[in-house]
Amino acid sequence: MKKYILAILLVVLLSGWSGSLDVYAADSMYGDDEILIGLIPELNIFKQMERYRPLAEYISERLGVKIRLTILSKYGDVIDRFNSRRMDGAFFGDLTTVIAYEKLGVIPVVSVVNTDNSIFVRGHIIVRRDSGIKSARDMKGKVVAFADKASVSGYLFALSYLRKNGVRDISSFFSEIFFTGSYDASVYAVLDGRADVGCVNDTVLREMIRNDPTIDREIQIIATSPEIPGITLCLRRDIPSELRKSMYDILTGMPRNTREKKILDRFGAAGFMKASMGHFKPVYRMLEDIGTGVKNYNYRIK
Amino acid sequence: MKRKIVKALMVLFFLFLLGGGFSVLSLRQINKDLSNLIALHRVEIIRQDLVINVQSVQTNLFTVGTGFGKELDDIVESVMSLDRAVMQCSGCHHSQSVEERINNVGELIEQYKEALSAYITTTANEERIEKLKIITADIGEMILDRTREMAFIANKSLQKKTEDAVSEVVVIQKLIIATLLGVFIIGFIVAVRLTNLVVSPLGRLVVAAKEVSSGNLGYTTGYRDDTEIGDFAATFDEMSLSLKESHEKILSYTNKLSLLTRVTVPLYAVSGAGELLHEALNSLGMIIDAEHFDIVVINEGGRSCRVISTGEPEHRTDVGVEGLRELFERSERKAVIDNRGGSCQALCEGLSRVPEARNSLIVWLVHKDELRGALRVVNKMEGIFDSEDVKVLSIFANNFTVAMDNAKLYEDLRRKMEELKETQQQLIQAAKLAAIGELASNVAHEINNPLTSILGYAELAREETDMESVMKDIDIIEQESLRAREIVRQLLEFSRKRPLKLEEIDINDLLKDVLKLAAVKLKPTAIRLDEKYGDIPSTMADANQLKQVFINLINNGIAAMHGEGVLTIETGMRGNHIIINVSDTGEGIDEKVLPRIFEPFFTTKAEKGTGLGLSVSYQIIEAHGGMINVRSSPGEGSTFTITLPVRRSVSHVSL
Repeated sequence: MKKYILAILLVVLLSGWSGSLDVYAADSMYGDDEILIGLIPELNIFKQMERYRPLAEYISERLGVKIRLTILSKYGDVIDRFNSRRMDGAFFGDLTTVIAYEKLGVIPVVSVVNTDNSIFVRGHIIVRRDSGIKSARDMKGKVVAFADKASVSGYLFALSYLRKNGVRDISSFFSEIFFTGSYDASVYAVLDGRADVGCVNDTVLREMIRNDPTIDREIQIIATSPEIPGITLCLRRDIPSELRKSMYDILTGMPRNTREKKILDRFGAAGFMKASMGHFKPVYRMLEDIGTGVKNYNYRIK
Repeated sequence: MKRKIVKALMVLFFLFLLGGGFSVLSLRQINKDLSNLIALHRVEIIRQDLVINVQSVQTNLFTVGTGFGKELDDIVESVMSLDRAVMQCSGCHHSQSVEERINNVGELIEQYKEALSAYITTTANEERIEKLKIITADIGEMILDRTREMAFIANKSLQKKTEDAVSEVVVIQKLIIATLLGVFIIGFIVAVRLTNLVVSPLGRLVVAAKEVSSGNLGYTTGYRDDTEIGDFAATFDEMSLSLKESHEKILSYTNKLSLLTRVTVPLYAVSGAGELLHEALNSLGMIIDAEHFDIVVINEGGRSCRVISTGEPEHRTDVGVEGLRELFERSERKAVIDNRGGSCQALCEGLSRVPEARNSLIVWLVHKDELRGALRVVNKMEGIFDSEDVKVLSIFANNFTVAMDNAKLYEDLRRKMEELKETQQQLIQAAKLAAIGELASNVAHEINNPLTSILGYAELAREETDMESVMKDIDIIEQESLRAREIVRQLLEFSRKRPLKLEEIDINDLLKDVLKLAAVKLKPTAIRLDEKYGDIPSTMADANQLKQVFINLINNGIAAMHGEGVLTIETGMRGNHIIINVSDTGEGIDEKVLPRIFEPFFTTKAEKGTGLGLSVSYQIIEAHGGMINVRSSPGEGSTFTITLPVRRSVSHVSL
């Protein structure tokens, strides 16, 4: 323990010191008792942190290595800053998993099993019930609030849907396009009237409706994507296989007793299962639908 | 006393407990107040943290723009700490209004999180972003306003509570000081009271103890109370009185014993039985104060007795001896006390009747387990006879019995002494006659020899024809006559008392002078002279007479050695006496005759000696207060030892 405390102190000191040299540097210290894991702003960043923190503490305790979480303001940042911030891994979203796999060479370890015991989610294109929008055609000249370009549910599916419905240039199709950065923000933007069209995945929407059932009465789903894996934990390729195996064992072997159940409930999942890139085929298809490959896909906003 | 001390200590303990309890309660109250203050300060710290975090986030909002990559984790941490701060505040017990304010802040923070997250994650045109930023900033300002309001309220509360706590502390401080002072004063009073309670009676006890130890027996403390010290003082007083009583008893016994000694000692000095009876009767009157006394002594043979009574002459009687013996046996040989009167008259028939006898005491005179008589005392002047009287009279009776026996022994001894004296006189007379006879026989024998020669030669001269023969005979007659005269002279000298002419002489010098005279005799012999003079002091003595003694001894020694041997003269000191030894290695003296050599006319030299030399020497030495002894072994020689006391100043001692 003393070793860990010293290591943590060292990390803090080094973090402070290195921070003064490189504002983006956040050393991965798993070799020295710390693993840096990135989070995408799937939800409100504070909620996201609250959701992941108990799980990170649990893994730290079981693994004997501190897990430090870092949240990113954009989905795409997890790709851009994975290397610069020397992350050891990240809980990637649907599209970012594919991009990271292709561009960063990360190894998918486990996928999150949703409360419906499935690892898959579906993207929804939503509007207010009172908006009068029933199809893609009705969306013309409206304000759209995408979640993020680096998201299937939050952008790619909508883009694919619009393409299939004859919309080639969305910037001229919509009167205004903005990116909320998260699914719930997109939903709230639609609910608040700041946008007419929004994007969300079914898991987030279900959770939002569970917390506020009025949402279900106000929101109408225009389109739903095929099943795609939700959140997947990927680790850097150079991470020792023993450590990767340990993390895999810890997450897939979480018993269902009180403590673990509480952690998973807080996390909003039923558990974890082995990840497979085979599950991401629909994503690859959607990318093809919009006429681009993974490597050429511009996930950056502006 | 114990109860008082316990009570006092309990009062003290109660006071201390009261003071201590009050202090503890006060301290608890102070502690509680301080805890409240600390809690309030903690709230203030929480609030300040909250403000700092909000301000930090606000600053980031306005300075960083969209590039939140760097500070995002910090912002997230700061905002989440707002949540924790609010939750911490919610955990405290607040008034409803404060609770509402905290909830309001909590809601604002939730809104802030939503707005902030939206602002951070949203990518849109500048107008929308600016709008989100303003919304976020406004909520942040609202949080700051609310916290400022709360801070104002908290500060007011803090100030009030601090003032209350300080005033409470001051009051408690005063109360503690008052309690401590009260406890101290009461404790002091209790201590003084307790000290007086203990010390005062102890002081009186100490005084009483000193008085008693200095001999003032019966001195009492006079202290009384119902405490242990009171009991102790009462016990001490009883002890003092008891000591006094015992002391008086001892004094009384001592006086009685002294009186007994005084009256019994003279009994031992009395030699006659009659006188003893009178003395004893008088003594009885001294030791017991009574009207009448009888002393009955059973005579030898036990058939009669001698009786002496108060106011009556001593008389003998044979009446009552058997009655006395019968009473002695009947009383089991113990003293007989009769304090009823009447019966005492019948005890001894031979005793005189005492008119109006009230009481009597008879003590037996017993010697060697044999009844020798009795003492009777009638009509004690004060009270009745008791065991004390029996003890005193028994002691007197024992002494009287012994004195009586002593008197009898003395009488017997005196009679025996008289008989012995008479026998001795007869023996002395016989010895005198024998000595005179022997002396006369010796004188007659000594004188008879020359007289026989004188008579023989006188008769022969008568028959001689020529003158020469006659003259020879006359010469012999003359010689024998001279010899007879010498014997007579020496006899006269022996019997004459000649005074000593004492002068201070040196014995060693005297011996040397005598030896010069003896040298003529030694010269033709082979006798060796050995002189060993010791360091002796000069002494007062008659030089001429001592010379005569030394000449006698030296001549006897020379004669005993028959011309050969060693004559030793030796002087020395033994204690305060001068020792002179004259030794020879001659024929020695026969053991049989050794005891007689100092007798007059005893000689071993046949015709040559008169037998008076050593007798005269013995008398001279004896006249000087000295001694002369002889040790002799036949064939080895003899040693005469003269012992003379050293006299510094003596004038005349008559022989």
